[in-house]
Amino acid sequence: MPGAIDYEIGKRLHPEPPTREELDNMKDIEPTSAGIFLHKLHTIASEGNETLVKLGASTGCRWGDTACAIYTRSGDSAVCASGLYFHSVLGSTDVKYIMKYWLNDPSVGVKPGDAFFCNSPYIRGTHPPDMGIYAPIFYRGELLCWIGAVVHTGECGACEPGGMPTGSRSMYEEGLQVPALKIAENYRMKEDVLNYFNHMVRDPRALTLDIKARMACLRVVEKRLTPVIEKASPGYFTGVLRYVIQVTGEAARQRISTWNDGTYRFVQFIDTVGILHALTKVAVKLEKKGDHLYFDYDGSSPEVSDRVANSPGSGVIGVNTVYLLGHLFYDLPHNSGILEPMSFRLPDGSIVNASRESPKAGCAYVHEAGSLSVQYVLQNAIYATSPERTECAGNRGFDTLSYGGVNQYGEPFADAGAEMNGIGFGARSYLDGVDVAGAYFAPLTSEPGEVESLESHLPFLYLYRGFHQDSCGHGKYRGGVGMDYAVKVHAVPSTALGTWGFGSLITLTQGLFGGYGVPALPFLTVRGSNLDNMLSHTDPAIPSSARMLYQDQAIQGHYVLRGYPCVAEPTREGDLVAGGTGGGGGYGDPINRDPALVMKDLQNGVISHWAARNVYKVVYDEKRLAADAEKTKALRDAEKQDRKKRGKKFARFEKEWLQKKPSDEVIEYYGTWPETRYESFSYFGQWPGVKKGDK
Amino acid sequence: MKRIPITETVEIDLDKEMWCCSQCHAEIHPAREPYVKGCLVYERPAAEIYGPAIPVKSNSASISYAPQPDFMRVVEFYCPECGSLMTVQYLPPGHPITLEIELDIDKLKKKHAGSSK
Repeated sequence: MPGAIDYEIGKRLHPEPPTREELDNMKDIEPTSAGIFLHKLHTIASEGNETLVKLGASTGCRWGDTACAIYTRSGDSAVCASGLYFHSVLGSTDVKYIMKYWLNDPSVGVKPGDAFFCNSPYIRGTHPPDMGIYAPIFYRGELLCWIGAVVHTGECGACEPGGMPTGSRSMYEEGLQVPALKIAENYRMKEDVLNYFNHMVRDPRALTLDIKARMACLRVVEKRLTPVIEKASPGYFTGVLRYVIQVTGEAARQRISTWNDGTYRFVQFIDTVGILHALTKVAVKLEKKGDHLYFDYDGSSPEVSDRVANSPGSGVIGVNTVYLLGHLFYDLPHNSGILEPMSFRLPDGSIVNASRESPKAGCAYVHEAGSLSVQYVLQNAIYATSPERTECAGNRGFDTLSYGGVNQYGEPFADAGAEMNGIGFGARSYLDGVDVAGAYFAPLTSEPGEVESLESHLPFLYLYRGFHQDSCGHGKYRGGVGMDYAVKVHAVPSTALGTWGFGSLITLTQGLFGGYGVPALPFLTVRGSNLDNMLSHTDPAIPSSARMLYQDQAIQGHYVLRGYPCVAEPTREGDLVAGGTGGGGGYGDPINRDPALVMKDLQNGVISHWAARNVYKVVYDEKRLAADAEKTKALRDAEKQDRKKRGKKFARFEKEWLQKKPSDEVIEYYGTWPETRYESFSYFGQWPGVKKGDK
Repeated sequence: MKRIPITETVEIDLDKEMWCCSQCHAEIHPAREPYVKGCLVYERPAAEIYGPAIPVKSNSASISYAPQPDFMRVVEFYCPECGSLMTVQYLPPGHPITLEIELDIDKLKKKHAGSSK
């Protein structure tokens, strides 16, 4: 049935089998020439992506949470610019939907100059603010390929401002959700469609500008591609698109085959279920056999039908491409081919493979927990052969502001804070993680934005932004630290302010091989503050960091701990909100860290004296920041001896440990304690003993 | 056969089929089982890693960087011989220990057959 709600399209993330025509066109491809040609295509996509960033208005678009991609005719992502690889790969399902339902439908059709708007969570696997526009590329009447521009536009008319409502109770409270709608025809925007969208959202200006930025991106790419296709020949062009996907899959397979065969496990927890603080779990078991990886998510928590806690399966898989393409296989071409040597088994009716109607606004929480688990099982698999690629995860919690209202110019605004792009990255086997590095989902391109620029269009005054002290996981190599921030509502009577993300009650991002995970992340509001008065006479007690704010509490007012996430609520002029993003996981035993590096961290303010003394066990002169090597060694030796005394043998520890259990309230949505087992699964990619279509 | 490094903190002696500590090379546990079973295990109070909570002056709340104990605990695994910290797991209280790595030892032996010590 044309336009049906399609539960299967999201499972087509893996590359399609090559067509006979593509196979014919690949016959004469010579690798070096193809590499040069692909570089040209990547440059074109990069120009498209730059156009997108320059012209967009939303937080996501302005600060680099964007992707521009070239897809094969059948919809596989072949060339991607930007670091937001999962938007490129998940766009495959949008294009495949258009090809399946609208290509031959006489009431829609696909013609030169068309463009389709798509943001359906159940097709592309992410939440409604992730909006893509896709355009077909024709040559002499023949459809050759698709191009796409995808951006997170942080407002989509959901029940809370900013596009990611914490309190949503079903998909019908999450705003605009469009499977694939023609938004341009014959190179002209359809104003009636745009007008309809603008009547659905709080911030039509940002939505319109972001849509037009996507259109400009696509037109730039089409304009550049056309002469390249003409010069090279359409056959060579389509052949190279398929060729690069196949080469990527083969190269990944080759590398995987060098890793040790075995079973690797990881569990990651989430501390929020909608507005409630409760636990859910994403479990991943990796079976590595030969040159193939089998990821099994059995044991994850069951779907929560009426709370923000769920994701479609495609998003859970697609988001792994951020780590796979951005980190582990960074030196391979970036496209859907990376999934070819990987298969996934997701339990039906679980938070990692939820049904259509449950809320999906928080799908990113599940994506982050899932991608953390996948990254960590892989670290245990790769170290033996590729220690130089071993890397802890950067913080995955988002941990940002959500806001909406009327700004200082009387204009409506609604979005998510750029702070999400200020996380610390994970420590590596030979180096600390990068401080305030970007966003985990767009590691190469995102940035947290300039304060002055943000203040120019938002009714906020930033009190401070800087290194979030001790927000890293400590270790022989520490994770990069995140960013702390405090924002005062300014020049408007009131605005709606809340937070998005998770990790206020748990360690969200864990360490590796004896390194610690990141701390829980506080977020608070100071209501009725005297900050305006303090600012009026440049009071020296005005805090310049989260630690100073929390420890001194020099600002008078009512301190309310809110955490990540919390529903946006009216926040008055002068009220302060303060929090911080998390850092990356730590690598290796912290007492193996070079004391000189600990001193350097103190000098830079990224760790506290408390951590230097108690976690790193360094003895030093606080004034000169000079470590005493002998005393430090003695203290560290004593710590090792103490560990041997306090540690229990595994069996004895386990016997006592298994008697414990969280309170019923904490595991209300967790599923069966300690593990939920499923009977029905969805398979993405081939799975041993399972025929296509089997459950 | 030589010792094969598996992670930063553990290696396998393929001849003896034993997990060993990478720091002191002590034998920890049979290699056909997860190495965590050969470690000393300790539930570490989270405040010892993340610092004490900061009381809010104006009310009874406190600001904490440590995970809440009803949600998550910190479990440390030590080498029984030298006390090196081999891995850390973050688990809700009573959640089964994650058996992180189970290698196919026969394939590993085949892979390294012929390599000298």
